[in-house]
Amino acid sequence: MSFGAFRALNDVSLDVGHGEIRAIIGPNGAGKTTFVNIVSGIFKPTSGRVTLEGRDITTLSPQRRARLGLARTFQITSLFKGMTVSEHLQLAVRDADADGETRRELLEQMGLATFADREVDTLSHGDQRILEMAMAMVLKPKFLLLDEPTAGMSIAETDRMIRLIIERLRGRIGVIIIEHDMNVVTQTSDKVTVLAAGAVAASGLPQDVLRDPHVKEIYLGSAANH
Amino acid sequence: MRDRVGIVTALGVLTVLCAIAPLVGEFWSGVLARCVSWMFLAISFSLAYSYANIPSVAQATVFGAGAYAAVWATSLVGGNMILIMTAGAAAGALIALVFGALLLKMSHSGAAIGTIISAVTFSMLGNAAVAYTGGTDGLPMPAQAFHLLGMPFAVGPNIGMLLLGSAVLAALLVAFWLFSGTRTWRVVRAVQQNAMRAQVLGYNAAGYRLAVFAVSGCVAGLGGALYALISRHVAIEVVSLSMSLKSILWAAVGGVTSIYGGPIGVLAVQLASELLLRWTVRVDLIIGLMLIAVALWMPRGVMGLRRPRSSQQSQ
Repeated sequence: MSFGAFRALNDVSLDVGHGEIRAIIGPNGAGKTTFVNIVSGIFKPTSGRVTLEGRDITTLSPQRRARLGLARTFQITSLFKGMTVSEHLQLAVRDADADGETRRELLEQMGLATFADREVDTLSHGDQRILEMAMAMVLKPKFLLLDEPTAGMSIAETDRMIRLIIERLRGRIGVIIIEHDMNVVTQTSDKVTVLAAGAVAASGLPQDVLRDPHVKEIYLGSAANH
Repeated sequence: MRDRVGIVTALGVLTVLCAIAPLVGEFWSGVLARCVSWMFLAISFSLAYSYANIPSVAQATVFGAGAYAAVWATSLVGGNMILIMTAGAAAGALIALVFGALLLKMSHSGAAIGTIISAVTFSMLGNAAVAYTGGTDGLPMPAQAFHLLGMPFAVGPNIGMLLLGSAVLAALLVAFWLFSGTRTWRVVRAVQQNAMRAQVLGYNAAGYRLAVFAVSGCVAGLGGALYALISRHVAIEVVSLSMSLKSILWAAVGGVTSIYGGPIGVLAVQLASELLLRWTVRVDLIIGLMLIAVALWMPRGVMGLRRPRSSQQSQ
């Protein structure tokens, strides 16, 4: 993927299986969000392919990909001002009436039931992030992209998000999670891929990757400087 | 979310206009009837700007297309006012669809520039195509026996047209109010706030924006047809850039983020102009100062005064 002369991603190839949670880590500017934007259809790659369950979706628009079962959340909370929690879920699920029960259940499971009729502007940051997650999950996706789901969360809110990811996603659908918090990565992920300068620097089991001296140098060394 | 205060305010304004018409005489009824036709234009700008996210400086072009379509349709179909208004609305929607399809390929600021260029170009084309538009002299509405639902109807700047325009506008506002409680409108608001977010939820953001812009064109075209019936004459100045700028001013004064603000903005600006004209020729200067005051102290217009700042954007 190139922006003019700048090559943001170079020969990055990932195969994430059904039920697998893959964490992508790397220093700022490594190309993590660019990668998610390509997979979700917001950016068109200059070369390469994106497939979902074997189907080539490279040329499809973000909305077509969403309808095929590809959901995502954003690094910066992206909710709609003036709408309630319940209205957000109604937006997310296309067949609103048929899935009313699903929405109610989901709100309860996500700990948002008491806020159903509250406008999202009045929720805490943590609850807003959980709602983003609920919106992605109510789509019943086949694959989910989580872009820094715990960004800006307190420790308690982060623990709540970790529990949700483990209980609601692990072993059920394919997930790519971009995360800076190594605690989240080690607790939720089956595999970790490290991106650095737009290329894959390492890939494997979390405990192996995070012990890799090369990874420590490029990622943790870089993080320590921030 | 339905805006009860907004709809009640707008309907209240129209009711008062209709109620005072017999008291103020034919001249003022004609002024008010024209104001009602311009309310459609102001509403169309609010729709385009706030809900299609297209900063259209060419809404008067669409309004003018509706006005000319009404004149041409009268020549073709006679005095059937339903058909004449339908022709105006259809012409507005069609022009907006074509404009919109092009504008959506541009950036936000590019679209604004694009609409300015379109407004100027259509104005020049209208001046050049004298045979069809009458140029600066304009075209008179053909003499016909006008009728509405089988009843004879006197067109022109009169109480009857004020009542008709108000009734059509009231029906439109009520229809919008009902629609604003639907799931489809929720999607429109979502697309307006964050098109990319709406896309990854599976919605065709560009399609929704284009549909809303076409509706705004339909509203402007309908207003244009009413204007032609009220004025019984359409000149090329109706499609001018200055007319489009007026629509922006009306919408800004009423509250550009609310559909219901347009009628208030038109009345405030146009009635102030009419009254000031009796005292001074420097009306534009005074109106300009008023608008600066509105921009500084009432950035969300009259309709923005009634809600806390945090929730103003929600409508």
